[in-house]
Amino acid sequence: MKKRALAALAPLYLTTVTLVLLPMLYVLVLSLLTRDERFGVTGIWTLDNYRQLFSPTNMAIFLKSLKVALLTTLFTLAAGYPFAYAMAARPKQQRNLLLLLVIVPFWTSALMRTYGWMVLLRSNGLLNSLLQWTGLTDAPIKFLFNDGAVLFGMVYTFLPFMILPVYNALEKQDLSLREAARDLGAGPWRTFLTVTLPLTLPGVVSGFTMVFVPSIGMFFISDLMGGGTDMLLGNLINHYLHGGRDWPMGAALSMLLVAMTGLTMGLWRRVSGGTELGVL
Amino acid sequence: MENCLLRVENLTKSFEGTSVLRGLSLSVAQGEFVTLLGPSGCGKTTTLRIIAGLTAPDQGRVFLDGRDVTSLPPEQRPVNTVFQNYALFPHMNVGRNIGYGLRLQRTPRGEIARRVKEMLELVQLPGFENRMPQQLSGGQRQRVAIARAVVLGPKVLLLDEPLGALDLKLRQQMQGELKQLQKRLGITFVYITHDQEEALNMSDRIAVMNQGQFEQVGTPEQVYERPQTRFVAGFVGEGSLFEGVVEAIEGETVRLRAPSGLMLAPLRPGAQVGQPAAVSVHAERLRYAAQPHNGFHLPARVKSHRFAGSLLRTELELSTGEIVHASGLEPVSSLPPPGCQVYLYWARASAALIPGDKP
Repeated sequence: MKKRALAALAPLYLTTVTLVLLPMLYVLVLSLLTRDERFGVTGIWTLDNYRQLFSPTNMAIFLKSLKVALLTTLFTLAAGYPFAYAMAARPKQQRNLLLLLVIVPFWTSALMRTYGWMVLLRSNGLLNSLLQWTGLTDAPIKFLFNDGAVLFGMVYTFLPFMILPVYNALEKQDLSLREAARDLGAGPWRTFLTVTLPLTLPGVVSGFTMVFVPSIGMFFISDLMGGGTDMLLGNLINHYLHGGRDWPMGAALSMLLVAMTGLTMGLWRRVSGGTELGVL
Repeated sequence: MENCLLRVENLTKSFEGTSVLRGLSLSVAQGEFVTLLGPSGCGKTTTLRIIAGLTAPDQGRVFLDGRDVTSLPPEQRPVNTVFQNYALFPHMNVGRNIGYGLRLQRTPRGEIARRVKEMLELVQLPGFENRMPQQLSGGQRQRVAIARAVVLGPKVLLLDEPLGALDLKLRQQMQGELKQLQKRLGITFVYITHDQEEALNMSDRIAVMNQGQFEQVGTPEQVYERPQTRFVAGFVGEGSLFEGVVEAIEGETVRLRAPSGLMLAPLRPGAQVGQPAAVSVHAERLRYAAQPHNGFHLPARVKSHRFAGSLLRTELELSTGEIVHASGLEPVSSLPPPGCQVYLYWARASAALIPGDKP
């Protein structure tokens, strides 16, 4: 019995080990080696990379990345929860259509969609042309290449990852619970705060994870929409691995990213009372 | 009606073009136990939801204590509901579920704890404060749902098929408990069920509903003994309906001629000689003998006898081929065997005449 259970779980362990654990180990080992101009790394063990990690410049980038990821998560929650709520309140057929509309963007790559936004938003882009043509503005507005543009791009890209788990939680909720709350004397807001929201918290936690984790390491949006002048952690790693060809430093930064993500998730779990991280 | 507490007037409601309520009016007195009885889809739940404020009627008004509450949201109505699926908050323990409404009213904490305890004793679940709803059995959840609604001291308690999910034994036990609870608290109950036995058992009055209208509103005895429509006759109790034409009216007795034979029933206003009418007889009132009974001529053939718990059910075939049922307590050995020719009859007063043509 026990043997068979183990055999059934074998593929799971196999993929976890080969696709998660081994690459992670590889990165860890890389981060402890020394940079070499010709071969990338040499076999000299060192902790220097970690010592350099906390330079003031890097610290500023970490903090900024954390801030952007948190803001992204908060904005997706602020926009995604009402959207999911409205969606779950529609009749079944409309719900499926709306769900489809949320999912459709996944059919093209996020990179392409970011370029799409740039075409729309740049100085001689569609939106600016339209604004000037209608006479609403005289000169093009600088939508792109600032912090706001990066945040916008992030929120746009990750919004579905918040909507879907929250919608899933809302859609499963027994409507008679809300009716019972109203019946017992709670107004619409009280009902939301005491019944609807607490019962959809697992969905919110899940959405938080699915937005926060990838957004803390995201680099191409800040690259493209931020103009690449303002770096986030993802850009920094990208810079070391590609531009600077300093693999050990890039690896050390990646390890830091993993640690930061893990720490935030642990903290969030504690705050949310150990709610199960329900998957979609 | 004197001391009328709840009154609905001329309620209509349709969903996506389908008419669910077609002009419903009902008055309920203070302390009364009124049951809306009808098949699923007849609009009884919609009526209850309109009273609770969870659904808005297309037309019509709801009065509570003489006040028009039609446009009040549910949280402002002195009415509480026991939902069909109980709708206990799964993230709150029993104590917090029951105390929910009190907390909203900002009742002091000690007072809440005291009243929750009191309620749990009332529904015979003392000490259950810290259990979670998921840990309770169906019957226990039911009791908590009742306690949660009753603790607020509503003027009217609405119950939507509260016993529907329970097994037979528990249902019968809960019927008795609910009735006792209602008497003790003196709260007006509006109760929904599709189970006629439940309705007959517990109610002061029954409103039999069909297709968004009341077919008959009356005491259990009236609804059972004197059905006013063919629907009520068919829905309440188990019985047979004979369609025919009034042949003669002699004093308080009506003679009806049906394709299957001749029969008697007590006079009902509206009956006229030569006009169509139906006679309804409950299975336990249907008798049969080897010879025609005075005033009756209803030949039939015994098809089978079948045990149905405490009763013996006999299936009989009329000369027209229709099947009717009779039920009784006699042992099978004393009854004519299948294939026997018999004549049906009943005590005149135990039948009900329903004047008018078949709809």
